[in-house]
Amino acid sequence: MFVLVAGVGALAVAFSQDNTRPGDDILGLGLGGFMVGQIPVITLGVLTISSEYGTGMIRSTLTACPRRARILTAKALVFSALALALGTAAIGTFTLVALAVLGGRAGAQPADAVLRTVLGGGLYLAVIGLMALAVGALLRHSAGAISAMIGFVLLPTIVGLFAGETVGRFLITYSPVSISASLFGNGLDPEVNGWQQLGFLAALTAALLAAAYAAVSRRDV
Amino acid sequence: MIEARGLTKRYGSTTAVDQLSFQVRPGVVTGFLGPNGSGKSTTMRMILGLDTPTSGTVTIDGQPYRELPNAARTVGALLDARAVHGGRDAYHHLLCIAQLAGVPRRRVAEVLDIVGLTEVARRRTKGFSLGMGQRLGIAAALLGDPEVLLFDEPVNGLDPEGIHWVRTLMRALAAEGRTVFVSSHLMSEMAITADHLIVIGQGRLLADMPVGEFIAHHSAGYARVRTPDAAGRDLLARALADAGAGTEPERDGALKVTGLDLPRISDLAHLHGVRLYELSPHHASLEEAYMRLTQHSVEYRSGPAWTPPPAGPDAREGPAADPHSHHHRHPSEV
Repeated sequence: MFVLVAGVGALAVAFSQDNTRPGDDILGLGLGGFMVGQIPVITLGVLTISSEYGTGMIRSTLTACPRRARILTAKALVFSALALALGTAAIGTFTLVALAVLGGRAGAQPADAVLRTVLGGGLYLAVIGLMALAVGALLRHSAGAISAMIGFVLLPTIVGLFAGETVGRFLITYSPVSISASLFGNGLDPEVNGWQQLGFLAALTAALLAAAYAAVSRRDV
Repeated sequence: MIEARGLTKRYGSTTAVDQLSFQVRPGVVTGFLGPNGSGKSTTMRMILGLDTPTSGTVTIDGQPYRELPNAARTVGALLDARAVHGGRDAYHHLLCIAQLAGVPRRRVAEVLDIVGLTEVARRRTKGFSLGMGQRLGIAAALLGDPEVLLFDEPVNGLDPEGIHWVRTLMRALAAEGRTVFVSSHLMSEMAITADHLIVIGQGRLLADMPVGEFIAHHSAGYARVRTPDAAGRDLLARALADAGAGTEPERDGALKVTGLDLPRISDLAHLHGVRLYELSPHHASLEEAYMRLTQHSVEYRSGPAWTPPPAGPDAREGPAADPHSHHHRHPSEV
């Protein structure tokens, strides 16, 4: 993930050296790497729990520690902290590279934009990773849960194009693709900013996590 | 002490475990016996709080497993030896469980030593044989030095040396005052490992008694008597019947005698002037007794094409009535 976000971002920076003009938003160059970098976060989030169901190791785990909510909390905390730290570091590295290489031509970037991209991007990765973990716990099947999550990231933007005015607009605005774009300063809807969209994603994740808690504590394994 | 009361588990219309009540006491090895699909594993999972009973309760030292204050240090279990993360080595597999259970790191090396896996501790579990996997599973069960131990089919895939080792280990654990509950579908294995037997079939309790009692109850001894001719046999049969014995002719012309000891049979033969070519003691095998007990509750029975053609009037009852399988000694015991 780190390699993808920082590496692809740095590549984009390298290719943009010639056509950057003063006042350009250079943070937007990180979006490509960020979109690709989400995939390993989603995969790992799902596998954090579903791999145990796949091997049957979940029975050993729940025998060693029958407090199931505690297991899920531990996994969620470790994984989200890791995703947040690595994600923020990766986007931070990209931003430093971008500023170092293109900062001279494009001029200084607004501080709130940098904060939104670096911290917001890191939070987004932690939130989408947690959602993947919740979906992994609900579906208990690695391939199924990863497919569902990739679908969740990509489909709303596509379906939104064909859905009616209200639904379509909502789907596109709050699709993960659009949220990612907003965080990198390329928002599709000027009325909603990246933080609001991120709040929506966090609320959805909280609901899925609550469902995961209920399912994990009640289900037979 | 494990205590089940009216334990029932239904999956849709299938009843896997049906009103099961039993106690598993400390200090002895309790064998949990039943054919495949009789509900042994489901019962084990309910004991460990992995499956929730449809009705009834099962407690360990008076509390449901999931409410035990320190479950991993109280109960150790081997459920499925293949349930490991194949990419991890044996040491780290155990370390993961130890850390979850709050067991100190040095205990991992100790249990690896107990099960004899120290030399392969750094090898990935993916390459483990079934027997090594079983040993690893047993090591995991022993991690918390628990008072209650559950083993689901622990001798599956083990060689005779491994089976002997498991048997010795279980007996040693029980001798230390622990509660040891071992499931198996092999009667012969349980007859020499367990002190107490709980037998189930189609989820229902069929027997709950000490092994000795089970043997006495289900494998009554008999004597085989062979005379030179049919006249002598008939004469002797009448005399034995008059003395209160049960007699039954066998296919090869011998006589199966129950209810009299060998010296009495010999005396009666002498008294009536009947010569004997054979007078031998026999035990109905425990395996036969077990199959007789469970034959009505076997879920996956071989189809009619697989049963041997009936050779006589008493062959129809299946293996339990086969007069040729007298020995109840298991090969691994020799």
